Amino acid sequence: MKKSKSALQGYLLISPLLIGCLLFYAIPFVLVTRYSLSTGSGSALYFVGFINYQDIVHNAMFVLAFGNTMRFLAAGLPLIMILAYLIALLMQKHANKHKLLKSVFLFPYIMPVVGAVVLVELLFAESGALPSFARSLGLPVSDWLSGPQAFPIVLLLYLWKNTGYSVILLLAGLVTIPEDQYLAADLDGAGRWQKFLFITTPQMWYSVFFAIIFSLINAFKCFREIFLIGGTHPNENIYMLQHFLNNSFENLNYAKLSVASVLLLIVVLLAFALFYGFVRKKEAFRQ
Amino acid sequence: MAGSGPDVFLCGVDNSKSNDFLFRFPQQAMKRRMFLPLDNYIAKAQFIDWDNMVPALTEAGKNEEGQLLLPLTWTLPLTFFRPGGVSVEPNQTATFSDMLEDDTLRLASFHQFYEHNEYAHLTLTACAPFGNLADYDTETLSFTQDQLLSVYRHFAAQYAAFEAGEYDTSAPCWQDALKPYYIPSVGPGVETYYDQDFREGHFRGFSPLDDTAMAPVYSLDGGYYAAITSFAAVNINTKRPDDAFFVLDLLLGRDYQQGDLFELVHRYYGMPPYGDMMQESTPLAGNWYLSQANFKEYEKLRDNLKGARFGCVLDQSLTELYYDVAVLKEPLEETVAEAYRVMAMELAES
Repeated sequence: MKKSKSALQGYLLISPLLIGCLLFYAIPFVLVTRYSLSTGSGSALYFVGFINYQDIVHNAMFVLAFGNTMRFLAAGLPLIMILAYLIALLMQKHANKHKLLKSVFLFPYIMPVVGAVVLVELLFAESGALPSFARSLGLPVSDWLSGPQAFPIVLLLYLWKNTGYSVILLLAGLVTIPEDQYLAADLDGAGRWQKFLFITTPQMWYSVFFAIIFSLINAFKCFREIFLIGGTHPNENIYMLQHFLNNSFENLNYAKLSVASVLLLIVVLLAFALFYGFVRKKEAFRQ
Repeated sequence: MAGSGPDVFLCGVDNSKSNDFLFRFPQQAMKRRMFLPLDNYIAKAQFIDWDNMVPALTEAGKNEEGQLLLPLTWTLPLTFFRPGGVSVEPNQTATFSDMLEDDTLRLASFHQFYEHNEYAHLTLTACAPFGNLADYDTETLSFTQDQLLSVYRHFAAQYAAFEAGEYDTSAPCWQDALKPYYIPSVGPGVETYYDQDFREGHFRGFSPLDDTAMAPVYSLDGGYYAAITSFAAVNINTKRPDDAFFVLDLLLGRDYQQGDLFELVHRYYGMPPYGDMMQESTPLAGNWYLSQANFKEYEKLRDNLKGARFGCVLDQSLTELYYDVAVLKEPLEETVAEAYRVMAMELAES
């Protein structure tokens, strides 16, 4: 009785959040799924099954956008995690001494989007600092932001802007590992790699998992910078799914928009489920 | 009226950069069950005289579901010559290349920049060589990048000749989009937009009373296409379809089309969709009509249309390309390549 009363109180406390999720996520998702299986709009919606899905996988722009987005995630997520983890490990011992350093890592993250884009243009645009320098060395230079070089530039922007945030998340996990465990390992003659592998890593999976989730969210947010750099139809190498979704909305093509959203969700959920399943088996979850 | 969203769509097309299209590709929008099929309503219409509408215009707004879009106005870019001054009668087979090889038609193949030459003619000429612009079934452009480059090289060269003062102005001709009140009209007492300018001789010796020969801009594949500059449709979600169609019935009725309400619409957007209007017995705004000879020229143009298309964002892109290449002197090949890339992407997304 006491337990059910306590559970009820808990549900009441989170009910505003649940209602919000239901109204602004769950119900719209059901509607989007319905749109993806139909043609038309409003009361004239007409069920057509998976025809929209068949059409979209043959649509060149969707294939390009999906491929670029997956390529961006496949390159960006591992890179950001490796970089953030290395920095966090370096800072682990000094985390409490240099509090200002932690704030400095967040500066790129909190920088306004337009500011970041202006910086990219100052550095990489055709008349920017780096191309001008390359030209002065006699190297052939084209407009990097409109060519295949745009992809690594955008990737670099993503890493610069978001690594600091991942460092903070990982650092928060690192400082919770008891120092005694490392001291005990030292007494047993463990090397740095062994301490990392057998003490740090098993207790960091939870933090790594959350850092990956937030890095994934930030990767999708990178669309804002790409949009400001390249417009609605940027170079093919940085034409992302959000461009496709945005332009489909402008074309009032709700079926295409919905199908692309559902497919993206399926892929992300699959990746999330696989990784979550992997992490759950690890030490950090055994309580 | 009640319903989800607007019950009726009345859309005008303007190729200027500032224009925001509600339907960026009207012909693609037709495939997405957004518009109410109007065949049953047209059959019972009180005011629409369907049989006298230009067939090419009504066909453009029709698909397997039925008649979805109704044309309100249409136009095309023309060059006017003295009667007999055009060596080729309007037809469905002459191509843009044929124009370049003919001394008189060559003058009609580009926009001549002179005072009072209509902006609308420029925007239409930028698009006219490319015919229907797109194959909407395969979502691909109906012209290649090389074809685009070749046409715009011609436009850029002509603009450069204009800037250098090298235009051949010996042939009496002038240009305009096909709009009432702008083209040579009628008998005494009728005011046209350019009356004062005609009197002051700004139109190369032409006066409003002259008969003319009219030369369109032919497409690369042959023939010429009407540009539908405004259209109407009923929202498929309307809860009062009869009332919604009544609005269209009224607007497309002969009395409205010939009345004062539509004077401004025709002045800015183009010709009415009725092929038999603008004669002395069917004047616009009560008093404007074409002379018999000019109406015969208009009939030839009307009857030889290869097709009609709705204005879309590709028209805007081609117009901007004209300015970039000819006026702003951006590097030709790179600018054309970039414009082609963006247009192909826009179409593939549609």
